[in-house]
Amino acid sequence: MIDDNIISFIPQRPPIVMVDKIITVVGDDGAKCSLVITSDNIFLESTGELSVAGLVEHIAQSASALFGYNAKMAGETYVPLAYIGEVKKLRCYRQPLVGEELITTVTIGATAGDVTLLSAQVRVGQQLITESLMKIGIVSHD
Amino acid sequence: MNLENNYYILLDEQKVNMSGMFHIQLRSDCPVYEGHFPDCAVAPGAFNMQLVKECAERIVNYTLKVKTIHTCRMIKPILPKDTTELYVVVNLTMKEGGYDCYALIEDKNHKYMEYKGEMLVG
Repeated sequence: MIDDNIISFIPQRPPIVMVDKIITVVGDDGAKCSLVITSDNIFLESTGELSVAGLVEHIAQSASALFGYNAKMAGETYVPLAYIGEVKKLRCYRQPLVGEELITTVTIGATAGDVTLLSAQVRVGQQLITESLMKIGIVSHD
Repeated sequence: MNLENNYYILLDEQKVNMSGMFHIQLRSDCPVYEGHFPDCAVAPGAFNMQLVKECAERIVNYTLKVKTIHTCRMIKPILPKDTTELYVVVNLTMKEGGYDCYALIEDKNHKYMEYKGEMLVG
């Protein structure tokens, strides 16, 4: 577990912080992050489920946390601003409920300029609930 | 959170069969901009994906579940200080258990997002 406040690694702030912790980082190659879904989550639907849009934002912020962590480890004073460029091949097998903990693995793929391709799997326990590819754009400035 | 009246206000809608054009106004005072981002408000791409879902639900008049997103391209960032009124164009094609959904978010000058996916009857 990375022992630091997640806010120090991502540019998002409440009410749209969608990652709680970085569990592990594998260099520049990927990370595992978590989020417990609370009743005040901004992406909750009336059914009590997290929306698929919320899952997308959680994946993007998990990647953002990895980029921010690596920037901090490199001695940078800022965290990069990462934004969703494209979501591809997303499949949602079920939407998670309040109280469930998402454990999400993001694996970094090819990078071209400021755009990085990643793959992500979101699990609750051992159950795969969502998988997706995503292009993330990165703005690296103060 | 239901985005209607929180993130956007629906100004007008035109629906024909399984298609619709929704004229919306983004609320620049939406609390999400306190966090996305504190120094530069940008409409969250994920909110715009949810916006498409809510518009699709207005066409069919019941709840839908997003099953698959084949592709969703964020073509141009939406900055609420510059862009307040948008059109969400949604075309649904019925299939077993749900719909194929094709959608665009645009205004008269730009396309901002293109979405292709499948939604199931909720």
